[in-house]
This record gives sequence, structure tokens and C-alpha cells, in this order.
Amino acid sequence: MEKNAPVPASISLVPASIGLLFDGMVAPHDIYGADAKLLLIRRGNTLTQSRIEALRRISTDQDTIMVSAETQRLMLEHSLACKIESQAALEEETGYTEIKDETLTLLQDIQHTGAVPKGTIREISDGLSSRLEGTKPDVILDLVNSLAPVDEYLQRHCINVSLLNGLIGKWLDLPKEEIEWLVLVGLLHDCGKTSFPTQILSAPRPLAVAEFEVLKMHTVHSYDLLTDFPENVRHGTLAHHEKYCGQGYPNGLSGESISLMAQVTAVSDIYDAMVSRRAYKAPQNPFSTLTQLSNMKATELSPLIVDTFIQNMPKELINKPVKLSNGSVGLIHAFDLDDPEYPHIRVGGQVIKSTKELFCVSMYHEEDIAST
Amino acid sequence: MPRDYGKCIVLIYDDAKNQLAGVEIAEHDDVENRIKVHGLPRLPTETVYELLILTEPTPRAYKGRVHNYDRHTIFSLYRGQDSENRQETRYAIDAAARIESLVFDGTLYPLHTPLEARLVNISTGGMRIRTRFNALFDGNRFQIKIKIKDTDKLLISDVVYRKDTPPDSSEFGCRLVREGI
Repeated sequence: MEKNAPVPASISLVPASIGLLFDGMVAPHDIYGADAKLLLIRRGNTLTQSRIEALRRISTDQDTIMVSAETQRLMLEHSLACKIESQAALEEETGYTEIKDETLTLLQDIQHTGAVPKGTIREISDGLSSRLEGTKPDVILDLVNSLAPVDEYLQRHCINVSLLNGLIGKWLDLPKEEIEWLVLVGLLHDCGKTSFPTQILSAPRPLAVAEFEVLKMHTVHSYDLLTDFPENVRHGTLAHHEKYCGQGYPNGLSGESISLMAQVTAVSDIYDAMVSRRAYKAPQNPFSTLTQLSNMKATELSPLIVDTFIQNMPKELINKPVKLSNGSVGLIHAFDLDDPEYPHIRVGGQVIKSTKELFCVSMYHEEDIAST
Repeated sequence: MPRDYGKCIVLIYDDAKNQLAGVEIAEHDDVENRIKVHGLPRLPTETVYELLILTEPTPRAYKGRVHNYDRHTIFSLYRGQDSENRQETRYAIDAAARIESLVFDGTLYPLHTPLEARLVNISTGGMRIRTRFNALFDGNRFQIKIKIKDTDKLLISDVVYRKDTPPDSSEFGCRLVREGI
């Protein structure tokens, strides 16, 4: 490292995260500290993991470094390409993998016995609540938004809705006990689906009308399975497909006659279904779902819950790498609350507003191109 | 002891497959193998008609010879020589029906809201229904309730083909399932 090495006038520097440096990376240009004066890595040098760790230790301004636009692009492209591997590591690290396996066993037990084991549920639910406490919201969203195999959909969906319910509960500033109930409802909201045939649950196509009418009964099945649980939990599962305007199922409830548990679960359920890959659809990116949720406000979903979600969720995506439709990569810089689908992106030294023509095509997975 | 005549739904057709009257509720005498129908116009005695009785799990086709009485008509039933062929014969009908459940792996799954349908034609082996666009897919097995006056019949059927008449409706050709769900 060389102190106060002059930055060549021809190269403009942009901020980047040390976390985006990777083992084996050959620096295209010099890399500086956050003050843009301290030379950390000389151009042409190859980085090793130990060197990256050393940089992290000496970093004075959190984990910011100053790099050339070309270096930043190289780091972001590598980060996006490694997303699947890093996702598996993140799931291990946060305990998501363990909870996913436990939830799969739980759902299989419910399927085979037709009964919900209260003790096991409580253990998983408590595990989720404590992880919610100890994990940053942006990491929870990374877990929820991750690329996932289609055949793991149900167990991941139960966990994701549970985590999202917990996040929304926090954003609503609900008491801890209420948040724990929300986490439990999220975990159990689709337990009635365990008695449904795979021909419907895993159909590689949109369902026929009659098939969908059958699927609607899962809310009633969930309610019936949860006879040993408090009524707020049972109602939360029963009513999570009710619509604010009264056009939902199974009972056509409307407005505030739908419990808060069910209103929150409805938003979490729809969001996770949109960003998930299914046998019959590609995942959507998180930005386009925000516009769709906004459009459902007051017709299908509670305005309070949707507003809370839209006001809080995008903040957690700031500084995440993203690929744009013209192939360039950048970092999410800011959101307009009235137009969350098209965030401001920092590309190189510039901040640009994404648009219908230049939109985010990839954040968590390569194929989530359904943003228009 | 008076004989127990079971209620049944019967469709009566002449030789040209024109439906006689509407869909009738009749009384079926299993012992004598005849049915009694009230309210029909007087038919020529000894004339033979084709009758389709909506029985579960599949309808049965007969020929029936007419005997007139003051207040009712009796048809003596017998299997015609062409009864084998009549499995393919489609009898036109226009009756209300409701798709109530789907069947997967031998289990009935009720619909949250049953789908209204119209029965377009029926034979001893199949039927055609008209219902909502995209209501079913090829291969779906379903239970349909055919409701005529105060009598209903539940039939299990497999979708064999569909013909869409967008935007509102589709017609489904279906094979009736004899062996249960």
C-alpha cells in the first residue's frame, strides 16, 4: 500500500464495497481507500482472499473503497454471476437451510397424519422469530428474493411469508407478541395445501377455472387443521385470500372485517409468489412487484399494509448490485416512492433513473426479466 | 303391497333421434323392466321409442314399446339389437348441470364455487357440456351434478377434448367413467 499516491486525472473514481472484491481478481486500475487518496491495490495486481480480509480490517470508512468505473463493473458482474453460490452460503449462515429442512419435514408430517404438531410448529416459529431479531432486513429480503428450485416452493414460501410477515410487523411497530403471531400465521398459512394433489400444486401451466376453485379450498383446509390454535391464527390462515373490496375467498369478507393477521399475510403471500419461480412462470424482479402491489391497494389489499411495505422495502435494496437491460451493471441508489418500479441506479460515476426502456433485468437471478 | 317405483330421469327419442317432449321424470319398475311417465301426449300404442335413462354411474339406453293409460304412459323396456352401437349415439339434450368436484388419484376435491354448465348431449358412454371458458383441461376427471326438476344425478367424467368458443365459453367432450372415481 502506498500513501497518498496521486490519482491519474484521466480516471474518475466511484465508490464500491470491499465485499465486492473477489479472490483472483486482477485490478484493471488502481484501487483507493474511501478518501480517494490511499492507494490500496496497484493496477495489474491479483487479489487474494487474505489480502481482501486485510483490506477489510484496515478499512476506516466501513467497507467503502474508490475504484474506476471499469473496476466497479468487473466487481458487480462477478457478484451477480456468483449470486447462486453466495445464496447457498447465506442460507447456511443465517440458518435458513436448517429451517427449510424442518419445515419440509413438518409439511410432510401434516400431509401424512392430517394433524398439525403444535410443539414442532412452535419450535420452528420461535426459530424464525429469533432469526428475524438477529438478521438485518436487507439480508432477510436477500433470502426471500433468492433463486430457488421449483420443487422447494411450498416450504420456502411458508418460511418467506413468515419472514415477510415479521418484517411488516416490525415496520408497523407492532408489539413483539403480535409479530410472533404474524410469524406463526405466515408459517402455517398454506398448511392446508398439504392435502392437495401435486397435479394442482405443481401444474406446469396456469390452472383451469375448476382447478383454481379446488385450490381455493386450501384456506378452509388450513383453518380446519388448526383446531388447537388460537382463533387469531386460524382466521389469519382462513382469510389470507380475502380481498379488501370483498371479492376474495373463502367468505367474501371486506375491509377491516379482515383481520390484521390476514391483511399482512395477503401482502407477504402475493409478494413472495411474484418473486418466486414457478413451474409455469419466471420470477419477477422486486421492483415491478411494488408497482403491482400498489395497483392492488384498496381493491385487493389493505392500503395501510401496502403503503408500509412500499415505504420500507425499497430502502433495504439500496446499494445492491443490479444489471440493466442494456447490459450495464450498477448499484441501486434511490427509489421514488411514487414510481418504485424504476429505481435510480449508480452506474460508474453517474446516477441514472431507470425507465421503461432502460430497466433493471436482474438482481437476484439471471432470468428475472419480467419487469415490463 | 304397492310396488316401489324408483324415480328416474328419462329422455325419449323417436327413430330420427328427435327428442320427444322434454326431459322427463319417470318411475322405473326394475322388476317388470318398464317405466311410467306422466303427462306425455298420447302416443301410438305399440310404437317403439328410444329411451335414455340417466342412471349412475352411466346412463342406460333402451328401446321402449308404448302402452297408453288414462293418466300415464308405460314403456316396456328391452335392449335393442343395436344396443352396442348406441354407446356412440349422442342424444341431444339441454339441461342444467354443475361441476361440483374434481377427482385426483381416486379422491374427490370439491370446488369452492361449483361451475354452472349446460349438458349439450349425452350417450351411454359420454357427454358434451358447455361451461365457462377454460373451465377444465384435457384429462381432468370431474363430478357433475345434472339437476332436472327435483331429481339429480351425479356422474363422473373425463375430459377428452375441448372446443373453445371464446371469450366466454368452452365445450368439453367427456367420457363417462363406469368404474367409479
